[in-house]
Amino acid sequence: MTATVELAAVAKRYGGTRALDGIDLAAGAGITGLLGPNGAGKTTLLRIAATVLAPDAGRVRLLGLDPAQAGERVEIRRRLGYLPQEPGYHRGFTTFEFVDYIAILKELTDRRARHAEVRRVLAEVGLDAVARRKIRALSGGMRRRVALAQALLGRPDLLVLDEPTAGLDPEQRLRFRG
Amino acid sequence: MTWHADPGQLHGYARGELDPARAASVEAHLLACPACRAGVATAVPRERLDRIWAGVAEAVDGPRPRPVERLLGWLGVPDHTARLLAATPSLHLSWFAAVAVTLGFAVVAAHGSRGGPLLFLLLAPLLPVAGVAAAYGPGIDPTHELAVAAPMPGSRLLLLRAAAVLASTTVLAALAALALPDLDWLAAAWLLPALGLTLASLALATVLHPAAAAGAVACGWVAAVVGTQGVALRHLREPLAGPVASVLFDPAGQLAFLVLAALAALTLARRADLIDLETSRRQP
Repeated sequence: MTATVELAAVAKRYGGTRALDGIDLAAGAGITGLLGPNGAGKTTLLRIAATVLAPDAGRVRLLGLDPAQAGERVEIRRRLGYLPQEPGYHRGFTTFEFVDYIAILKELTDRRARHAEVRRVLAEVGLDAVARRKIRALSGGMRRRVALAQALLGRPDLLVLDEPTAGLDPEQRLRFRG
Repeated sequence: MTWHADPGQLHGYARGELDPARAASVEAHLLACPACRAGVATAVPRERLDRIWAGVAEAVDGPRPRPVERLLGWLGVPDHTARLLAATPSLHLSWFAAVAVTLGFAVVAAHGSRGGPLLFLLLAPLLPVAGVAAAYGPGIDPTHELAVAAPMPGSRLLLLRAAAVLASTTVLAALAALALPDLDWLAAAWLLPALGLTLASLALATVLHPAAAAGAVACGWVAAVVGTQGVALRHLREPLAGPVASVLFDPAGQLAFLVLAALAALTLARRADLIDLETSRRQP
């Protein structure tokens, strides 16, 4: 069976700092978690798995495709949901407008279908009641859920989540794990 | 109710296949007939129900477009493109205010100095370059990392925003140019440099961070203007702030910027996909 995420001898350096050195990983269907101390390279590895960072060396295959090839990279991104460790927000946007903006980047251009999808993911993370509230007026935990909502757009085949429960209250953590 | 609607008509109504007059007639009957209403309720296809419900939700709960999105919609820009442009830092009101103040300062300087429109000609091409630098990239667009991981190519987003920034800044600069003293062809001599420098900064953004690319282009432009102005005025034994004499604003200089624009556009067309992938060499 083809692994969903497959890394072979992957290496990445930032100047003189070696973030990843000869990493091999094969993850299939289901949930795979990364555990390690701060600075171990978890975020670098997840950014490579999310196609936002290219490795210096090694081979990466995601959903059976090669992200180094421009065409295949776009196909991966169509089937990918990504929650970065520190996602940024257009703080002048409302919650709905922000998720709608990401939905457009994910090629959902039909207004009615896109808005229905935005409502779905906001309801999924329990934020439908604050859809019209400005992002800057939300708490840190709520903003984290907004970021999670955008990752769920389009029911992706591969979800790459970096610290998904950071900043969430205990109730929301339980809900997320459920 | 002592009569019931024809089952064929009810079926057609449920599937949305009746003409408006018949549909209105059946609808009027349904309002008064619980039995027919119950029959129709189970006959409406799920997909149609979802579509109708999405339409109701959109009408009742849909977000109202922001003022800039309404303006773009009025100009014929699709709503999804307008939303992408509304998130551009250099298309915000505060940015336009800063551009207007800069142009106003250059126009006032043109009226009050021997150098005439030199400062204006120096600054006007830099404004779209700065706007493009502030339109896309890590550290500038707060959602850049999310944008990189999305299927829409980064090059398309950057070019879309660059076109909007170039168009809006050009309109502002053209209006300001009308206020220059002794209006002649020199008042338009910033247009081709603006186009050439903006495209050059975009082409450079395929190898550098967009802000670094814009910085390099801006430094090159300032050095070229000051250098050529200095050389030209030395021959005329005039101070550097004398009348505009730089070869960059001669017809030959203008032609050079047209060539630069064409070369940069070609480079961009060949290398645009490199903007998509954020690698460590393009980190700020």
